[in-house]
Amino acid sequence: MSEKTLSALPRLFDRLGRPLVAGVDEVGRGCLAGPVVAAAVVLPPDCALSGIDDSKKLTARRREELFGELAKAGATIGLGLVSAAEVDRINVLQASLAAMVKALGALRLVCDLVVVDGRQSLPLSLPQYPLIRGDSCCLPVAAASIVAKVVRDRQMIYYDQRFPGYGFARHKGYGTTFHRRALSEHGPCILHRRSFRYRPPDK
Amino acid sequence: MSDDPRHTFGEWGEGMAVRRLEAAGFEIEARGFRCRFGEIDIIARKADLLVFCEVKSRRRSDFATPFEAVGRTKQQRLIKTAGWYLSRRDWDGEVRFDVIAVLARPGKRPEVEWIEDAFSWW
Repeated sequence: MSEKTLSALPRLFDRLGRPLVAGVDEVGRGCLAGPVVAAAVVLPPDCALSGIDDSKKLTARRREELFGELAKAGATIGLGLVSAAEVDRINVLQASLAAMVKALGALRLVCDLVVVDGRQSLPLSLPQYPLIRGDSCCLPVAAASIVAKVVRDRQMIYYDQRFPGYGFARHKGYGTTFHRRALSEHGPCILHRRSFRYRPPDK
Repeated sequence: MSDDPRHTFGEWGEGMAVRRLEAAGFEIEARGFRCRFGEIDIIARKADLLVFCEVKSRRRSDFATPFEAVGRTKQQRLIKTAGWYLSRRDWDGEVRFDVIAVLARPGKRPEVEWIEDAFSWW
């Protein structure tokens, strides 16, 4: 998606009287292990960054690059994290909502509008707008998807050292064949979400 | 497809909406604008205001009011389509979303209700 398309909606919201738009996205909802990480991003007006797009469409290296550039370009970033243990306590849907609310709180900014990727509405009194596939049609949401992904990936790479053998550095906790096989062999570690079921690997 | 009475009725309703807009000094910029995100019935311009209109044609008023027929999903599509339109058109002025409801009353003149700034979802 071109930059012009991605920045069209924030500009539209600006014209509709909502200039301070925060984009929110989360990552790690479907993982078998690790936290849910959400990011909230407010971009400066006329942000001149190029290449921001839905994080799933970018390579890891590109994401890292953009992550660095975002901070330099004056973006305000808030992070929210909900652990695997908490995911087991409240369900993963509540966990991702909680992570997003935390991320917005961490912004320490009162926004005119919160654009949330997906169908969810957050338990917040701020004006919000859920946008399906928002990470591919709204710039601050795309930026948030990049931040959340980079932060979470870095965490899982670190955890790979503390809990080796599961392959966290490669699959970041998602249910790849390798991961499921390792799970069947070694059992779960504290990072695993015990409330999740996974398909047993074929022998 | 234009044999389907529902489509010609909708076209009629749009025609009524166009006339209403023009009578109010608007210039019609586009009709039936389509893109991958959705479709906008009428895009009209007046001075520094650009209006994206959704037209709802109805035969009886005991159905859902035309305003209620523009639900959240439809609103989302209109917004995304408007965003796409604006990304390709240089526009620095104001923007608004309106709903124009045309109610056909047999034997009487149709009733046109024009709801300006219809999306106050926040």
